[in-house]
Amino acid sequence: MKVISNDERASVTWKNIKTRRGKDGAARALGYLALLVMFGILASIFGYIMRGGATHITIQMLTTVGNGSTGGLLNAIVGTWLLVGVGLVFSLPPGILGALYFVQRKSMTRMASIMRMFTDVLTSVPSIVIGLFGYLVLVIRFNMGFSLTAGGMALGVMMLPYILRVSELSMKDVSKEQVANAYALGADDIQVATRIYIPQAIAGVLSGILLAISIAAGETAQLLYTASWNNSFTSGFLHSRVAYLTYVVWYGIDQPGQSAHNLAFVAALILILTVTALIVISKYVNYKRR
Amino acid sequence: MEKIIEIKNLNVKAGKKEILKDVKLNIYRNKINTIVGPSGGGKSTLLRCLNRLTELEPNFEIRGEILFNGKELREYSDIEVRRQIGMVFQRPNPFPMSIYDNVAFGVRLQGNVKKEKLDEMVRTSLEEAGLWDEVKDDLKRSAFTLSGGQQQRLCIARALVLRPEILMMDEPTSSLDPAAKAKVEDLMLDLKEKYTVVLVTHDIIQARKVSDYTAMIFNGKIVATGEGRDLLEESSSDSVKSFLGSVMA
Repeated sequence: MKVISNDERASVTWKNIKTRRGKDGAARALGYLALLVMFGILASIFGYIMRGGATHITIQMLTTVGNGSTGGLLNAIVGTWLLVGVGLVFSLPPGILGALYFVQRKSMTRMASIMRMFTDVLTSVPSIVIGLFGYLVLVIRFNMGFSLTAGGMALGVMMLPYILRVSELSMKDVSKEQVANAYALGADDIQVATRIYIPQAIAGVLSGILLAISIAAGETAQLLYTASWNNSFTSGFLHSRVAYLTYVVWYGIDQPGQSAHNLAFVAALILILTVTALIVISKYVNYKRR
Repeated sequence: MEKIIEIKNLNVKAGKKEILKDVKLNIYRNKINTIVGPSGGGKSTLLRCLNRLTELEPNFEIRGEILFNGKELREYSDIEVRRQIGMVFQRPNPFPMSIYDNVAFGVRLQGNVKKEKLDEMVRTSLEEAGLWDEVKDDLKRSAFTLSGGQQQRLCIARALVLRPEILMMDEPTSSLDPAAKAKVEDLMLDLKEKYTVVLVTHDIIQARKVSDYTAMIFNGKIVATGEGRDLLEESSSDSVKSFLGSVMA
């Protein structure tokens, strides 16, 4: 065996340290660069929308109805929330129940893993495809017509996997021992769900809901096919067409005239602020939990 | 000695792995029945068979007979079994709620109980668990403010509130300091007046201190059974000796 002297060893170690420091520095520099690029993109989007939107926003825009290129945005703002609300009605119960199903004991079964896979697939179905499906099935086949219900359901399909998966993740954090303990005290599945899983995972579930809302509020494609547009408020409520903010962004920017462009920018600004606020709230809720 | 549980030819498999093999064991009423053995030997699984917590595991295959008060365990509902056979786990794990609500948890699962009645039940259980004097002034305090030893006694009170016939304890002192451990051990001796205690431990000294009836489990098999301390002092089996040797060394 070759004998290595202490001096040799020291020089090898020193070289090692130097290369490691070099690699470490390079990795850190790349990390900062990536952060800078990300932040730069985000900042330019924000800045661009702010410059286009903030300078043209008026009280009148927020308090009157419009047709997407002229007038105000009130019908679109209200419509967006109505659509999200109806979407929640269709996605929240199956989302929470599905999450409970996945985390409770059945989660190891083949059925559950197949369902879990389909949930993941659902997350990546393009919204235009959900829109097409919504149009052919809900609007035409089930004769709903372009309506708040059809639009809300199409959004619900989109929201479901987010609510389900985020809820499931936060329910997985609940200590297995506490769950076993509750069963050992004679709790049944429903009691374990309502007294252990849901109370302990509530912050995570809420942040999942907020995430789903913020994603749904920014959707356009499936609504074009299912909710259409309404120049005023939804008169027949669930059965009538409905306005929404993303439509104004999509439609307004395509119209001639500065006023239509301004409206599109303001709609985009409201959307971006709403989504940011929702994400900040969901982060805060999650932070409070810890 | 009166048998409260009779286990006959119990075999448990998790997937392909055999956890318990042909286990035959009696649990005696109002005694401290101790199951000793090295970690991973199947002690906890054996306990979980008795209150049917094993049924929560999706891939467990359980064969054999367990008679509880002379009747096959499967003929009771799982909830009924768990109310009559209480369990305390290895680590103290109170629920994130007040001391009072922790103890009342099991009772509230069964429906509404009058406040005076519930107060009385909570108090009795905390007294039996030797915790009442330490917490009586502040039952609304979060259970997490208690020390580890107090939390474990709270978990004992939480199991006792259902007035079970049997109290199973799965290495209840393994995460406690010596003083807290001694308290729980003394408590077991008090509890056997009213309850049947089944204790799982790998602590031979503890078993010697409290056990009335001991079974030694090794690689999923019961290798020796005997009354009191006799078994723990000496034994003919080599595996028992080697286990004793390893823990006594």
